[in-house]
Amino acid sequence: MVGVSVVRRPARDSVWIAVAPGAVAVLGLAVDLVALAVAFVGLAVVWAATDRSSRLGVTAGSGAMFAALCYAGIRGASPALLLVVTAGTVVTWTTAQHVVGLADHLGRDAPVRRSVLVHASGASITTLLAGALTLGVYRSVTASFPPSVLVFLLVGSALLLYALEP
Amino acid sequence: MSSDDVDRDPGTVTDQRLQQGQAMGEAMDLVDAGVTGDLELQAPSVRDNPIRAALGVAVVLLGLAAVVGFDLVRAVPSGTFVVTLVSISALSLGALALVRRLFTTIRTAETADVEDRESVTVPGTDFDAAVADAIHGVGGARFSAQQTVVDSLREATVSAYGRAEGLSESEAHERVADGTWTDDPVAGGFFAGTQTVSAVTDSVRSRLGRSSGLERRVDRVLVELAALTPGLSVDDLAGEPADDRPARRRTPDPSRRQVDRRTRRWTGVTGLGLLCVGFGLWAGYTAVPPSLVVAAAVAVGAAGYVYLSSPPPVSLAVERDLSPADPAPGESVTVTVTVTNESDDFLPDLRLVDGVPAAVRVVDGSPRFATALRGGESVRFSYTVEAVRGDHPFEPVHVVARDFSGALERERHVAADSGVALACALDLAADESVPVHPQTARRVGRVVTDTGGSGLELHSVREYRRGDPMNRIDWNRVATTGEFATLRFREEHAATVVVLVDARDEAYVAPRIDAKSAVDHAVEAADVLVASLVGAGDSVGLAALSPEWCWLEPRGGAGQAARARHCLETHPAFDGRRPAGAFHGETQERRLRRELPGDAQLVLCSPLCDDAAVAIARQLHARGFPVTVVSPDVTAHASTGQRLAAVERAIRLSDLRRSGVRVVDWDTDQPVEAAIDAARRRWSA
Repeated sequence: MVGVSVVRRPARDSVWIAVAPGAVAVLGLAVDLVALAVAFVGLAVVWAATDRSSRLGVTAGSGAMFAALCYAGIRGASPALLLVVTAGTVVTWTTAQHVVGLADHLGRDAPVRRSVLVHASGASITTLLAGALTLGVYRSVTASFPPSVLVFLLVGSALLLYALEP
Repeated sequence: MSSDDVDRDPGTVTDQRLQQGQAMGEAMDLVDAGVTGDLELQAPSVRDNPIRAALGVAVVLLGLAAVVGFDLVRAVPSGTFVVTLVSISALSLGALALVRRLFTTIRTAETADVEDRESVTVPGTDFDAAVADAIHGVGGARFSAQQTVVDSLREATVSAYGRAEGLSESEAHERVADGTWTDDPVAGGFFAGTQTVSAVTDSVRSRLGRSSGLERRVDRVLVELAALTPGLSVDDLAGEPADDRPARRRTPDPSRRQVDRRTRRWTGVTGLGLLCVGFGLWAGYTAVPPSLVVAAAVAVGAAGYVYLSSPPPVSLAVERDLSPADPAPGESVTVTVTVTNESDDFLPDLRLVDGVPAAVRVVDGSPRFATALRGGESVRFSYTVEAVRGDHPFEPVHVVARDFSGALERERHVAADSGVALACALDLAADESVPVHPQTARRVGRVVTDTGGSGLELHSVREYRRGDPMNRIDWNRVATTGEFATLRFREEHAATVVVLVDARDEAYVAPRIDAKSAVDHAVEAADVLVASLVGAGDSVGLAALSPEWCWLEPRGGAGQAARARHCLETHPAFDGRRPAGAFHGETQERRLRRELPGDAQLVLCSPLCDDAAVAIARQLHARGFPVTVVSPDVTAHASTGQRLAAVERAIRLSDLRRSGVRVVDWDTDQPVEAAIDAARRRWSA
């Protein structure tokens, strides 16, 4: 009888679930060819890094995707589109990190699909909700307030959150 | 009453002991409950980073001021300067956050390799680690590792070469040092230090999965050693395909710490939001493109959610079922684990690693599971283990529970409601005829001796003496010559044999970490040997080389076989766990000699993967207790270190044979009976 050993790498289907939101993000960046190319490379890096259980690779690939969406934003992509693209990028990043963590704890052969799907769903709802809220506020605010209101509030919140990071 | 009186007062002493006992009991309860770790989850505070917090508050106030109509950008002449300042701050702090992220180590629980048996190492692992350090190490560590590699190999070479050529140790040392011990210039130059290999090339080749120059040179030396060592050929060292399993397993945390921790996995995400707005301000000046504001809000919103989430409570009930409940050794047993969330809270990320007993290995499925669990909901998973002898209680389930975002983590160890144990009795096969030395006891048995007397095989004829039995008188001679003579037959005596199992820390070795350890093989062999020897009428005892003293006095009869079986099944020395205490070879050898009857002989079951077992066997043999060694071969040949371990074991076998010790080299793919039969044929040839 042959023994079973834990192989601390993700199962292939977990990797696909992790990169699926990123694929949506890449498709959303089709409005700009440069952004599309950079995001595509970033997603490929995320895919390979998740498969090899590399957190650094996942962060680097997601960073490239984020740079691509910033570029698309500067070039004038629509806010609704960038909301979906940013949510897709953040969800792919966090789900890939989740998959790598699961692989380290439980290995390739453990049933983890439900855990990965729940994490990806939770992250999608959170990010989409935050983005949609901001979009709604922005549209209502720019009618009566100067745009610097939102910018100041956003930067201030980010600084506060950064200060609170353990 | 003086203090001395108090100390002597029996009632007070009893009270003190009771109190100490209670305190110890409470401490043990805590250990059993696993509450020995730290709970380090603390709320983040603005006091940790006052400058960043103050800047954040100031910028938020600017935003609020704009809401009530005081738009700084337009109201103040230098408003654009403020915006530029905010932009630069956002960009630099965003970049800083990302850089910080690069140097952040994720903090999380470490799960053990419960699938494999505990603490089995592959022979040669230390040497492989030294080779790796010699290739990838830096500075002093690298030099030290190189020295270790050369010293280990030199010791084996001097030993093998000296014995093969009949040289003294100093002569062998000289030949090895000047490289004249072999015709192979590469192997000869290894110790002479005449060859150098580029460290960078070695490192690159190794990282690419190719064998390094150092490993190739070591292998050339090993090939020469194989040619010098009796019982070993170059083909025996042919490389096996490399195994992707590690040579050591991750062991569970013995303190079973219960820890709450921040994983730090979201560190730096706010930096993305800052960078987004910073880029927007820089690109669009005061009018940040709305899409970037939304993108920044997504990142900041996700980070904010991390701080709003709370750690999930972990209140779980675990049940474990075994099927079949009463397995035979080697039989597959399905373990079904049911975990119920006893709280009302949703556990979004629950990771479970079942506490497979240390001596048991998993053969199918996974003892790990990840899921999300609603309040009151149960989840069930199953896997298959291989039953092994003895009683093996399951360890608590290792639980790692995280919140939705994965930022907070609770690590717990949850014991099952009922203490299910995998219990398994030995399956004895006892029809092997085990060859023993001709040292016997004064009882009739099956060992044919050189002493004349009663028996079956003719030994000699001598003059008749008064009292000789009538049936041994040579009546043919009486008829032909008229002289009385008595026939003498070879006496058949019983042997007194003590089976000695090597269960030291060093004997927990296996060719792969998922394979049976040498101790498992030795116990199985001891089981067959004891039953077979008892069946043949010998007096048989049992002992262990282990920090856990084990001694079963030699006796005969079916009762002794049962006693030995019970000992092998239940004694702590054979429970499949690596012994924790120190083993003192000389002390135990002396103690063993005191216990051994004067006419006893020993059968030692040992993998011979270190020199101490050889020293004990030789010592006992020299002291008049003939030793036969049954040695399961658990060496592997996939790596350089493993090949060196195989060569060293062959040298030890050769040393023992030179000392007159009989050695059965047991290929564990075959039953031990086959190895003993083959050895018997060799001894009688």
